[in-house]
Amino acid sequence: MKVGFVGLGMMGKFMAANLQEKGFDLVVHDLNKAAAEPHIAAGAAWADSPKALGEAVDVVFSSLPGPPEVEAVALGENGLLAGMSKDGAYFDLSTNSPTVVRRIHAVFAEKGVHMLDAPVSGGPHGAESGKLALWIGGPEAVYNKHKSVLDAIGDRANYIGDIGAGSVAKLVHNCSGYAMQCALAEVFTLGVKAGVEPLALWEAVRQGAQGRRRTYDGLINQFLPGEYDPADFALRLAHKDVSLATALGREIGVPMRMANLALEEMTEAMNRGWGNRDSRSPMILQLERAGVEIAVDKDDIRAALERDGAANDNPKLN
Amino acid sequence: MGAHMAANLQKAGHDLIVHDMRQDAADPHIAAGATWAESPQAVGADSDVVFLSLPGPPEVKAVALGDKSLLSGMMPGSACFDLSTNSPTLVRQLHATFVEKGVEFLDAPVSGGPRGAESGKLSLWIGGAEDAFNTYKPVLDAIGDRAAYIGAIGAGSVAKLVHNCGGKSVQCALAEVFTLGVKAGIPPLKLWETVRQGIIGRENPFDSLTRHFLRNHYDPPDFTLRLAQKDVSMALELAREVGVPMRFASMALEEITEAMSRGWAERDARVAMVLQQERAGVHIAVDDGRVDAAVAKMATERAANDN
Repeated sequence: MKVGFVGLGMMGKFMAANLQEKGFDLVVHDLNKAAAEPHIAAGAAWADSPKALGEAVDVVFSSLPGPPEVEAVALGENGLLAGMSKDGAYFDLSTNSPTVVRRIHAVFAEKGVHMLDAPVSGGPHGAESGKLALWIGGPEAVYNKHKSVLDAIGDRANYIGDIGAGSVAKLVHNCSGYAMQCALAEVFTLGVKAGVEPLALWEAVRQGAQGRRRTYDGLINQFLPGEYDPADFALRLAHKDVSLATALGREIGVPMRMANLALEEMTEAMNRGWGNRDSRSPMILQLERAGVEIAVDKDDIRAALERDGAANDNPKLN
Repeated sequence: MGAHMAANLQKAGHDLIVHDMRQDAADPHIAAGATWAESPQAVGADSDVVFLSLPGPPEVKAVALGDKSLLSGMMPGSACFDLSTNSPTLVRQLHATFVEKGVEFLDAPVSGGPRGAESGKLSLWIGGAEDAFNTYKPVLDAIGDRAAYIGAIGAGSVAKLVHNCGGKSVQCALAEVFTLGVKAGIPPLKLWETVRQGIIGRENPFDSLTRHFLRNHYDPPDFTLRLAQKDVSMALELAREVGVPMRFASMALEEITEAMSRGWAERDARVAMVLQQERAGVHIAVDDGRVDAAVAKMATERAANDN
């Protein structure tokens, strides 16, 4: 199978190299031709434009900074669409806007070309080692047909849903990371200013309940099943803890925007009469604000944990 | 929490004297051989070391210094460990008062929840005199598998508040992004399974701090601030489109935008964390060798734990 790759930057160069190593016949393009040299040296062909690349291959991947670059490569003059033939497939590996990928998908579909969003997670290290998640949105048959190519790029290629679904998952993932980063910067400045050495502080919290589990595993017992009773840890006690932390922040002069906002959520939940429910019950307030209900069957959660296979890492479901 | 920790002390063969506001809470312990004491004072008078596990500062203060107080009963040379999640300021005051009478007072909050208290898979974070920590380490080990000395009095409580408060902010942020993903059309479990395989979902929330934040190294970037701004902007655009209010993520974007205005676009995205250090008047820069050693130690312990 001939594979095209556009965008040989920090992430793209590793993913393209992995495709070559797995024996795929590669055609490459980048704004900067020098970026293609290692690939050409390893046997790849150079295409002068996305259009020329689209004409030469069966399946195309792009790894680009964002929506404007993807739109230009996909739909611009000498873009992929001008070159690709009917029934070809185009996977966009960039982190892109779900709205933009849906629009590009529609334009491609008019010409009988499949466009799928396939953002990746794992960073440059993951792109290099192949320890990379790919989250695919679009026609499932096209995903299945190209699964072996996707597997050459990352060890966790998964079909998420309709076009745009991969991008939604990626934005949820990355956005949670940046919000968490701000929250952790706050509490660490609190701890350090309160006199604890930064590395000793890290080693301590790393051994706590939050530090011993994977980031999203705290969601499995309350938030996903939508069950906040009986309490694992009562909201009343969590409210006390965050009150003590923010009071300490005021005492020693550490502004805590996010923690104070979290405390407001907890106070509101207390006023709902939820003091003896689990301390995750304030999450219901956000569900209400968003107009979303979440109540996953526990057997389905159990099955998902089993599918993951990493039994040692897995949390216990209540 | 206290029921399980006291039971584990008994199982480890320690001779236990117990007290609680509700005497019936002590029945299982008495049945297992513990002695009942009528007051904190009576507990103190007969013990070499005393542990407290109480809801919060008012209760700890009442037990330690109130009517028939623990302090009035304890002998010079004995020690009290407060396992409650408490205010660092209060534990420092209590420490000062106890030390005047020759009694050690240490803060020793725990993390691991009721399940951890029962199984003994529990962290204890101790602040106070290191000698006293070392003397009573075997007793602490009977309560939890990870008793660690953190620093001077109050340091254990600071670590505990950092841990719990960080967890609650993170919880709010996760509620936001999950409502976004679900409202944008992904079924909740599918979304959870997906993000759990991403770089953030494959590790705990604290490990990423070892790469940039603790070292104060933001160059060269793993992932540039410029790209992070693009990602969070797109998430918030999607949220406006589908109608999901995003308080925490909006605040995160403000931080990133401020960092961009400093000219940090091509630095690692974690550089936005420097702004909070400036606001707090704190500078964090741990030596690379120490961070590497701590990471390696954690990996070894984890491997041992899994086996």
